[in-house]
This record gives sequence, C-alpha cells and structure tokens, in this order.
Amino acid sequence: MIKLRIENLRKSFDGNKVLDGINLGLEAGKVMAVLGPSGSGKTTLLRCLNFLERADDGKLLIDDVAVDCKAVSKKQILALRRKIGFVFQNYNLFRHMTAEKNVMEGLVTPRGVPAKEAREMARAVLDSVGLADKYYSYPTQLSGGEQQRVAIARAMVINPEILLLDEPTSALDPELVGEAMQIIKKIARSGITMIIVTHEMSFAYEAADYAVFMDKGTIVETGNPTELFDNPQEERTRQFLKRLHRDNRDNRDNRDNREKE
Amino acid sequence: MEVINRFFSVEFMLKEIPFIASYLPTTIFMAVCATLIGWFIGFFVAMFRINRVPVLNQLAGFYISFIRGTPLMVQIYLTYYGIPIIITMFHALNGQPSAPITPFLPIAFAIIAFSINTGAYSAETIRAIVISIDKGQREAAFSLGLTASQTMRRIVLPQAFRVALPMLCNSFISNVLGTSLAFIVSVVDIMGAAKLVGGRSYRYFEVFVIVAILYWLISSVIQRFTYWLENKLRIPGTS
Ligand SMILES: Nc1ncnc2c1ncn2[C@@H]1O[C@H](COP(=O)(O)OP(=O)(O)O)[C@@H](O)[C@H]1O
Ligand SMILES: [Mg+2]
Repeated sequence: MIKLRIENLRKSFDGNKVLDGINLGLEAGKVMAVLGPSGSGKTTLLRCLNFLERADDGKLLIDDVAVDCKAVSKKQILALRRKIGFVFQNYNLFRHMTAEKNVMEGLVTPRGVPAKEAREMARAVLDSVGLADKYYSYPTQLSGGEQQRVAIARAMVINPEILLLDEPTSALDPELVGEAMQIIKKIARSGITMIIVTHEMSFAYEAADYAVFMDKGTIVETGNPTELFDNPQEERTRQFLKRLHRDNRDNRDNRDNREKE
Repeated sequence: MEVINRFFSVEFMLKEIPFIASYLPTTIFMAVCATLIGWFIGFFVAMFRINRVPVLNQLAGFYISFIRGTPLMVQIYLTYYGIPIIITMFHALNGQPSAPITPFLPIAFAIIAFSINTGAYSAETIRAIVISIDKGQREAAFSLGLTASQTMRRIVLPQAFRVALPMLCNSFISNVLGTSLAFIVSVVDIMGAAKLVGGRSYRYFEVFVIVAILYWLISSVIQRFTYWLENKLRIPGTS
C-alpha cells in the first residue's frame, strides 16, 4: 500500500531551481535513504513534505489524500503535519525547555494531552533512547548525542506515521554515529514509514528498503541499496559514491589515528 | 560652619527630604503605568510591523518615526493641549458642542504622553528581539503541529521575554527619569515638590541635590532587581 507519493515537486529560490520535478513513491512501513551532494536539494525536499517550505508546484498523496502544493490550505497543512515527524539536522530543541518539556510540547499544545499523561509518555520515550537521567536538563546542558536523542524522542512521542530525518548524524562526533544509528535502525524496523537523508552507507545497506541518489534538484537514480551502491547505472552516482567511499575511509583513518594517540 | 551653611545647608536638606520623598509614589506610579502601557502598545505595534499587516504597518511606521523624531517635552504639550481639543471635537460631532469636558487629572495627561512615547521605542526593541529568535525554533514547533499563534505563545514569546527583560527594566528606569518632565503639566511628583520647596526657600541647589539622590537611588534599586531577575530567569547552562 502506498503511504506517500510525490508527483512533480518543484521549488525555486529566486529563479534557482532547487527541486526540479521530483517523483517518488514509498509504501507504508518502508524506509528510504536519500543521498546526494551538498546543495542537491535534499533538505528542501524534506521541508516541502512538511510544508516548512511551500513548493511552487507538485502534488503530494498521503494515504490517498491528495494535496496540491500550490493550493494547500492552512488546515490541510496542520492535518498533514500531525502525521509527520521531523528530525532537524541541527535538532532545533526548544532552548527554554527541559528535555522532558521539549518532548511533551507536541502532545500538550497541539493535541491537548493532559500534562500528567504527556509527562508519562515523554518519560517513557526518553527512557527508550537512554535519557532516563536527563529529564530536567536544558538543551545547552546536553551533549550533541543527547540533544539528538531528545530530538528523536520529540518527533516520536506524537506517534507519527511518517518520520523525516535530515542528516541526523552529521553534527555528531564520529564515535557517536554508530550508537545513534542503532536507535534509528530500531525505529526503522518498528513499521514506521521513513525518509532519511544520510550518507551512512552501512545504515542504508542494513535498514533501508530504497536508496535514492539526488543531484541538482532531480532524482538521478533509485534502487534497493545493494543495487545502487554496488552497481550504479549512472555516471554521476558512480562519481558521488567514489567520493563518499574516500571520505568515509579518511574519516575512519582519522578516527583510528585519534584512538592510537 | 556658619559660612558654609549659608551656601549649602545640610540641615535644610535633612529637614526637606521627607517632604520631597513623600511624592516618590507619584513618580513611581507614573513610571510603572507608562512602562506597562507603553510596552503593551509596543507589543501590538511590533506585531503589525513583523506581520506586515496592511495599513496598520504603515501607521506603525509613521508613529515610530514621529515619536522618535520629536522631543518628549513637545509630545507632553501636544497631549496636554491636544486631548481636550479632540474631546471637544468629538462632542461637537455628536451634536453637543457645549458638553462639558470632564476634567482630566494632570497626571493622566502625563501618563498618556509617556506611554505613547514608550510604545514607539519599545516597539522597535520588541520587533528586533522577536526577529532574533532563531527561525529553527519556530519551525520545530510547526513540525510538531503547533499553529502560528501557539508557536508565538509557547516558543517565541517565552524566549523573547528573557531577552526583553533587561530592556524592559532599562525602559522603566528611563521612564522614572523621564517623568521629571511631568511638572510642566503641573503634576506634583518629586520634581514638582522640589520646585515648590525651592520657590519657598530659594535653596534650589540643595533641593536638586535631594532630587538627584532620590532618582539615583530608585534607578540603582531597579538595576539591582534587574540583575537578580535576569539570574533567576537564565536558562541553565547559558551564560
Ligand atoms: N531559504 C532559501 N533561500 C534561498 N536558497 C535556498 C534556501 N534554502 C535552500 N536554498 C538553496 O537550495 C539549494 C539546495 O539546498 P538544500 O536543500 O539545503 O540542499 P542539501 O540539503 O542537499 O544540501 C542550495 O543551493 C541552497 O543554497
Ligand atoms: Mg541539507
């Protein structure tokens, strides 16, 4: 069953075509990893799906509800956002709220869950990402890895049907990436529909059903991760993967060197 | 001692302090009202500007530019002479040209003038603060399903308030000092009382030393309170 279909999505900033006719479909419960060079429009794509950015043209189908991006109403946007969780690249935790309050906010204000109940739910999710001792910490008192887990908890507590993650591990120290990916993998296997922008190939191999390669606002190639990574059909994909392998190797070498020191 | 006393009498000062200080409540009352009403006005004006509400945005721009471009003293006189005229015109338009003007207390004119003045300055401050709240904070709220007004109330304003608080206190201090102009519309505050004592004794210098010390004391107390409050509201882990 198709959960999400994107048809001919277009977005320009001052004449700069950032999304140039994107078409994608994703079945319920499947996980899609999006890769592509910096500036290729990955973030903009996710933002358009959540209407943080208003696409110039295109259609979204979510659960057979069709939305014309040009003519979408505020009410429709609010209804769609209730189904979609979003984890920002830099987390965007509410700075004036503790971890617990951050997670509670989406329950209490838009959904009217009583504070007591919301607190219990928030704590359960924080416990599940290993933050049982951080309920009362403010974002500035948390490490990058902890902030990221609060961001995931905040997006997950509202029980979204679709979860969007924008390079969730790119701001983390390399030694924390594995642990973070473990958490995201667990969520990926829980039956949620997920689109994740990531350059962690091991994650894509193990947890993604589809890999998508984007460049200059278009989808260059899609396939299952093994096919796409081991046998790319397009020259641009090949070039990109070669660079990615080299960067990953450099990172690994750096890490090893650091550990030796 | 005798000689000095002729030019500068500490004895006289000590005697007159209680009388002048007894008008402190008037000074503080005017400043509190002007600051609260002014920031209330400023908040709405800032919202008109930020959301570019048609017509109101242009009016707000004119209001801010006019108030910032004219002296406070002139604004007080405009209020003092202008409001009765407006009320009379209003009566005339309602077909009662000779209806009596309910007498306004002088202090009401002063508070209106100071509030209008504070409104213009605080509007720009509030606008700058609200704009400075990271866009990501608002987007995170939207992504959780908060509406625009919920986001304003739950995320933007609480963060803005922490930044605004020291500025609100500064605005209060400058209103305390600014109300010293209220005597021109015959309000008797500490400044007005000082003029009375001065006129009666011709010891103007001593009188204004008292006034200066009083203003300085109030300002220092507010400043202290501000530091304390800032500390209390600080988000843990930030500097
Ligand atoms: N709000 C914006 N205004 C103008 N240009 C933007 C805006 N957001 C993104 N862009 C441009 O769109 C392009 C794609 O950006 P983005 O979607 O962030 O790419 P990616 O996430 O793949 O690195 C970039 O060239 C970027 O400069
Ligand atoms: Mg990006």
